[in-house]
Amino acid sequence: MKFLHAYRTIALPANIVSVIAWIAAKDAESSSEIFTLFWMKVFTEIVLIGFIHLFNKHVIFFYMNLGIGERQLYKSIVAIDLAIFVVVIAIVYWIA
Amino acid sequence: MKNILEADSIIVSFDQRVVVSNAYIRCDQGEIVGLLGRNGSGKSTLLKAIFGIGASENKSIRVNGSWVANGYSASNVNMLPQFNMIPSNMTIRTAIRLFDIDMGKIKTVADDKLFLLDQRANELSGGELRFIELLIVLFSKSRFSFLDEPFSGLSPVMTERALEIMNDVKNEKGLLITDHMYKYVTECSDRLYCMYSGRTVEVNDTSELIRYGYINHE
Repeated sequence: MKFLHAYRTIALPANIVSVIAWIAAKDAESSSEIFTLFWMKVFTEIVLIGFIHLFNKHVIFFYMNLGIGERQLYKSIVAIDLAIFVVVIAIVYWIA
Repeated sequence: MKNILEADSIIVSFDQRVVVSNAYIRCDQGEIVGLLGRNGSGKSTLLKAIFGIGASENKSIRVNGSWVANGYSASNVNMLPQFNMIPSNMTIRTAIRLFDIDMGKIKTVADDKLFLLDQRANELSGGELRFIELLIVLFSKSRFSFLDEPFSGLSPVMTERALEIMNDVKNEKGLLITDHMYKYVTECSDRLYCMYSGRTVEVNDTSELIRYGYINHE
């Protein structure tokens, strides 16, 4: 529950990136294109985490007060986002 | 058995400038400990180092004699930072629920603020949000609470109310408070420290604050 709330911090920009990748995955002709999209997603993830680290310190305080450390916060956000991304892109590629 | 927090050997530097140098602080359950010091003397840095945010070169923190890596872990310490901490799009009710705070406690001390519960943090005035965040930190389950400038943005009436609540809450946890409204801090504190040359010095009389350059006169 706490982790899902933490994920909402970056949910909007992260999902915009995911949707663009999912649309691109629909027309992908090989699995290497899917891997390229995956690494693009990882790169944007790093940018978003960097944004929280530099400009959203108050969010880190909030979750630390809930017992979630800074690294744990970042790991959980990335894990949730990548899990959603991978599951959906796999389904899109499989259907296409 | 009352809870005891001790932190010593804390060293924090920024760009080769030593801000906190071998500082020691102790806070017991049942007391309010005040931490005073001039701007840039390292008060917030010290609190953050014990809480566990930001890098420190060295630190030793013990809760009831047992060493802990960071204050925030295992619900030992929670902290009200200088700035607002509730995510701007989160409702106050959600924040209170995440901290697992008994809503009855909030109703008891702030029944005139209940209309704020379903508003988002960014819809509240600075003072209202500060007061709510102070309540959340005070009422959440931790052994100690660090309050960094809790009175900033609060009207005198709300400050008096906050002091009353802090005096009630100190029976359940230890409170460490720093604020430049030093008269409020000296009034509510059972013990006082002053940051001076990167170290903490225990202050027994407010006249000592003149010696450490914090005030010009009482």
